[in-house]
This record gives sequence, C-alpha cells and structure tokens, in this order.
Amino acid sequence: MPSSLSKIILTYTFLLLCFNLQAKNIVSLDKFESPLNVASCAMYVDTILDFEKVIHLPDEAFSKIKKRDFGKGFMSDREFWIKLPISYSGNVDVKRVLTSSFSKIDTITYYLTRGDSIFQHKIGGNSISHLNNDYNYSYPLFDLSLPPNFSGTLYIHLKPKSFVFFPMEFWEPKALAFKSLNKQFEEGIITGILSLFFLSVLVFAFIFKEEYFSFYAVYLFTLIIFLSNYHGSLWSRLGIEMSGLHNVMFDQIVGISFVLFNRSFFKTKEKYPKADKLLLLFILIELISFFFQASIDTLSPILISIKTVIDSMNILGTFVLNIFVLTIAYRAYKENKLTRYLWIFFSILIFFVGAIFNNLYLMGIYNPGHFLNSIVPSLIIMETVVLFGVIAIDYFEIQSKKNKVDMALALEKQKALGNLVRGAEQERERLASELHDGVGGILVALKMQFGQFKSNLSAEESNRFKNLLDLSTKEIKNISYNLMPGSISLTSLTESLEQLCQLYRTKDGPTIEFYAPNWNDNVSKEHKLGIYRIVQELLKNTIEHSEAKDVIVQISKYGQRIHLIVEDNGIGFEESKIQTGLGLNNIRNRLSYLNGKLEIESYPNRGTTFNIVINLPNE
Amino acid sequence: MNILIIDDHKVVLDGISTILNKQRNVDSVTAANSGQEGLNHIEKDDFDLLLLDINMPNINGIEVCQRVKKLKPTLPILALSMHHEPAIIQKMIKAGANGYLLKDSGSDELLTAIKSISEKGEYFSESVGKSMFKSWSGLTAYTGTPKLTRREKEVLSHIINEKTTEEIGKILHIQETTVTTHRQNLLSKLGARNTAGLVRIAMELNLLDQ
Repeated sequence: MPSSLSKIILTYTFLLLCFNLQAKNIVSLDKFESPLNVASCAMYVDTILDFEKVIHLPDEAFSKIKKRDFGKGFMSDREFWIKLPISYSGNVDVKRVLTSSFSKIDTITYYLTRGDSIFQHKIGGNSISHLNNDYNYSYPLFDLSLPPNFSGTLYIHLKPKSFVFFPMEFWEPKALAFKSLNKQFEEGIITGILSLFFLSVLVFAFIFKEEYFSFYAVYLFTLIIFLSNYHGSLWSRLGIEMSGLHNVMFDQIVGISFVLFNRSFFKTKEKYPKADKLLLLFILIELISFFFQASIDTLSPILISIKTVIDSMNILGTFVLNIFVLTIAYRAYKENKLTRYLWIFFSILIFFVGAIFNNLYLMGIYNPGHFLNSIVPSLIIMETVVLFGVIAIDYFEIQSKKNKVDMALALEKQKALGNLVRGAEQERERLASELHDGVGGILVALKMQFGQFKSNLSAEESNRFKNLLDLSTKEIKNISYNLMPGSISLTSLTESLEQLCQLYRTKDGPTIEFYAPNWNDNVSKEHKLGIYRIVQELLKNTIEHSEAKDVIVQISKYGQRIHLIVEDNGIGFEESKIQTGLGLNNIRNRLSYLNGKLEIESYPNRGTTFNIVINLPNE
Repeated sequence: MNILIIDDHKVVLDGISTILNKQRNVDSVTAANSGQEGLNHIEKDDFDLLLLDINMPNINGIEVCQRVKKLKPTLPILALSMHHEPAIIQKMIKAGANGYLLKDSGSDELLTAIKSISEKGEYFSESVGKSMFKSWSGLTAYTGTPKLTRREKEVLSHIINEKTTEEIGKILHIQETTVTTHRQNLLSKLGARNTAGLVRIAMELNLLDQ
C-alpha cells in the first residue's frame, strides 16, 4: 500500500472520529424528538443533522386543523398557534425551519418560553419561491436559534395572508415515509455509483505508484460520505448515526481533499511553488474553520459572530481555492497543450458550480426538493465521471509512453554496451597488430641480425641474448594472439572455430566436436570475431563448469541467418545463474550489436544447450 | 640465386636482406613492400625463391600465394610469419606454399629453410610441425558417426514418425524456419540427400539410441 494513501486515510479516519464524537454533543435526535411525539399535521424542519425531519404537532394544533375540510388537503384562512413542548440536553441547531406546509403564510413568529417568561422570539417571513414537482410554493423561512440544555415550550404563530391550501402529503405520515424511502433509494444509488469509482481508484492506487491516485481515492471517499449524508435518510434508515458528517461541515473536507488531489495531480509543489504555498494557506484556513465549527457547542453572541466570520472565510476560501485550482489547470493546459488538462479544467469547473450550489443550499437560498433533480449530486456524479475518465486515460497514456521510453532506453543501453564491446574489440585489434607487426617485426629483424653477430660473443653471452629474444617474441605472439587471433582475418570462420575447438581439446577434458553443416564464409570480420569470441567464452565456461563428457559446437548459415549451437552433456546449471553469471552478459552485449539472440536450455545432470541465432544485415 | 622478399615491414625486409646478401649463393635480393608490388616483380622478373609474409594490408600473403602459383607455378614459396595458428598454416599450405617458417626462428633456421626448399622443394620448421601435429592428433575423437544435438535428435525422431515441418514446429514450440534449419543440418551432417535417406541413415547408425 502506498504510504501516502495510508497516511491520508488514517488522518481522515481520525478527523471523522473526532467530528463524530463532537457531533454527539451537538445534537441528539431522540432527545429532540421524544417530547414532541404527537401525531398529525406536519411541517418540514431542516436541521443540521437531518435534512428532512417531521416534527409532529401536539393535539391542540391538530384538532384545530382537523375540524376543517379534508380531502387532498385543506384550505384555511385562519391564523393559529402551534404549541410544542420541547426538552433536550446538549445543543440543537435548527437552522432553517421551512414551513412549506404553511405556504402563503404572511408571518411566522416563534416564542420560546420557560415558565412564565419568554426566553426569546423571532419573526420570520422572508418568502422564497420553490419549485417542487407538484406544487409551486412560496414559503417563509426562519432560523431557530435554540439555547443549549433547554426545557420549555415553543410557540409558533402562523398568520396566513389569505386562504391557504394545505396539501395532504405534508401532514400525512405515510406519504412522508414514502418520500423518505425514495430519498434513501436515491442516496443509495449515488453512493453506490461513487463507491464503484472509489473501489476502482483504490485498486489503481494499490497497483500503481502514482501518488495522485491515492489523493483521488481519498477525495472520492469524502464525496461518498458527503453524498450518502446529503439528506441523511440513508444512514438513519440503516440505523447508523452519521449526522456528525453532515454536509454543513463536511463539504469543507470534500473541498480540501479535492484541492489536495489537484495539488498532487498537477504537481504544484514542483511546478508552481508560489501557487502551491497559497493553496496550502487556504487549506489551512479551511481546516481551522472546520475544527472551529466542529468544536462550537454553545451559541454565545461572541461565538456566533466568530462563527459568522469563519463561515464567510470558509465560503471565500472555497471560491478562492476553486479559482486557484482552475487557474492551475488552465496554466497546465496552456503549457502542455494536452486535452486532458482541459478536461480536468472542466471537471474542476463542474466541481466549482457544485460547490456554489452547495453553499447556496447551505445559506438557504437554494433548496433541492427532489434529490435526483437536485443539482449538487448530479454535478458531483458528472464531475466524477469526467475526472475519472481523464485520470484513467492520462494514466494509461503516461504508462504506455513510459514503457516506450523504457524500451527505448533499454535498447539504447544495449546499443551503447554493444558499441563499447565493439570499440574495445577494435582497440584490441589495433593493439594486436601494433604489437604483432610493429614490435614483433623489430624483434624479428633483431633476431635475424643477431645471428650475424653472435660469433663475436662468447657462447654463454650469445645464449643469454638468444633466450631473451626468444622469450620476448614468444610473449608478443601470445599477447597478440589473445588480443586478436590472426586467423580471423586470414582464414574462414569455420577454420578459426575448428582451431579454437582444437585449442580446448585436452586428454582429460571433454571431446569437442565441431560441425559446420552448411556454411559459406560470406560474413563480415566483425561478425566473425564476435562469433569467435562467443564460442570462446562458451567453450571456456563449459569446460570449466559443466563437467561434460562431450561438447558439440555447430554453426550453420541459411540465407542471412546464422545458427550457432554449443551443447554439452554436463551437469547443467540453475535458472538463476542463467540470467546473471557465467559471463553471459558479455555474450549478450556482443549479440546486441550483431543483431543476435541467445536462448539457453539447461537440464540438471543432462546438460546445457546454448542456442544463438544471428541475423545478418541484408546485402 | 635470385630471391624476392615480400613484407610490409621495412625493418624485417632490411634484416632479412642483410643476412641474405651476405650469403655466397645469393645473387640478388629484391625487396617488395606490399603484395601488389611483389606480384609486379614476379610478372617482370624470374626468381628462384619467394619469401612471403602473410599478414599484410590490402592483399594478404595467402592471396598473394594463390596468385603467384597461377603466374609462376614452379616458383618455390617460403611463408614467413609470426602466426603459429594451425588454421593459418593449413591455409597457407593449401594456397601452395612450399614451406612455412616462423619469423622468430632466427637467421640460422632461415638459411636452413632456404637450403631445404631449394634442394627438397619443401620446408617446415620444427615448431610448425608441432603445431600441425597437435591439430591433427587423435584428440579430435572423430568416430565417423556425427553427433547430433538434442534438438536434432528430437526433430529426427519426429521426421521418422512422419510428422511434417509444421507439426514438428507445433510440437516443439519452435518456428517452422528453425525446424527447416534443423532438418537441413541433419541432411548435411548425415550426408543424406532427402528425408528418405535421412531416415535410412538414422536407422542404420542407430542415431536415436545414442
């Protein structure tokens, strides 16, 4: 597992844990719900923890409505009071009470009372149009700013402008349950789709070493948490308390992971170090605001004002970060002219639009009614598809390019090695001829003339000189032979090879048979020398290591194809040694410039076959 | 006695000329610096002996030897070389040299060689003899029946079992061209002209039981 991925996941798990613990302090559904368990007329309350929550009204309010006409709903022009006894511990932050069911209501006032005193009151009434599938509503909106650990009564005063139609489904518990189920289903689908992407990216991250896969996996993970919790119905259905991860705060984490992913993908640290520092700064601000929001559990005026500041910083941060990342993507596109950067740019744009909508939603300006119709999840799915596609294509393109480059490099390396061998061989040849013809020639002349003068010397002196001369010519002959056998240029390759085999034949050694079943000597000197050296190396190895009784050396040529075999019936050798040792690298280097291939078959205790095929250049 | 020396090394030419010029039976010594120059001399003049170096640029001694044998078949040639490799000695003899003298043998042996060639028509120094003897000695262990490689035996057994080239390639996981190579190598090694001959010889020699 890439270490970066594990680190990131660990960090996030830790964050989520912290947040979840914190969230339990903030709110408890049950505590809020239990004192209000009187059925009937309903209204939507958008809480921090649950998007869609039915608060049941007390009998009193219900009975007032019940007297009216029913059918698919009822009309009313009367103003009435709803009395809600509430009692809870900890914190409840009911952000927006959307009284959809009381549309066209002129004003809503709520009073929070304890004993005889009115604790606080607020008048709502900002009308907002909202297009739903079935109805066009205009409803007032207000925030319930509830104090912590409260026990008392909530009075809500509703004052309709005219006759108001109260549709059945808003206060019919069955209809609500059905709607809720739909949302669970939708949340489930979207979470499922994202999870599939997430799993594929996770597999990528495991298999490939690219860092940005890990970041992308984390980003998708945060998206899943975010979306699966967008309405909260899925998790509450499953009985899992996920309210702490509600989008109000978690969108920051999504944003941060998105930016981190882009940072890794565009390698801003290396390529745009200045922008990278700013990015990190804004990530820090987002993180601070996240922790701050997560840790607020009282709503004192000071904290609320700080929270407002941080909220606006957060929104600002979201905008700035998105614009930053967009700029980076655009710059990368401008610099590299690769379409994939343009696609990334689009995906960021989609993300940006999604973030804007999400913020509008959080501010209460935009409220998606039906989940699948809602813009944010659709945008996220869109963004994921585009981004995933681009990353996958990008990755495979880079891989195939890398492979090509690797192959080219390997070829280049082998060529270079081949050239090295060739160069060394040319140098050896030059040295051999200098020694052999130059120094050797002088020694020969010296020796010839020495014969003429030796009568002037004593027998002992003349012998000593003669021995020295003999020794030096012998040395030079041996050195130059080892450097470059004269037979290579003076005789055919098969004659040289036969002579080579003869050199290795000893009384106690293996029999060495040389065959040239089909041969013409129409081969360059370079090839001759190369093949000679290869056979020399193989024979040397075979005799030193194989413990063979018989060795066959065979060379044949059909068209421009030389087939060389060196085979023994010795002990064979291990697979591992085949690849590395035994001077085979030398042979491979030679073969690389001779355009040849070496195949080795070795059987324990049965022997080894070296099969070499060399393709000669076409004439 | 008129002697021509062909050697691309001036020191050697000078050294040998000096020695030969001192000999009573030598009338003239002509020195040629390359094979071509030597051949020109031979075309123009008559010589009694040619001392021929082997390792020379452009036209090497072996080639010069072959050409001289065509121009003047009776001109005795004594090859002079630093090479003691049997392959080169054999090649020179095949090309028509009457003798082979290792250059580092010294002036005495040179004179002996010249004498021997002019009297007996041939000369091989002791060291050349040794070298050749080793090459021809019984160590080659040639039994008359060629040894087959593992692959050749496999291919042969499939041929005997009437498999086609294509089938053999598939069975042995090798290319058809490789099978053809093995088949032709077999024909050549066993001296057969066709598959029938191959099978017959293989049976006769019990090659597959080796």
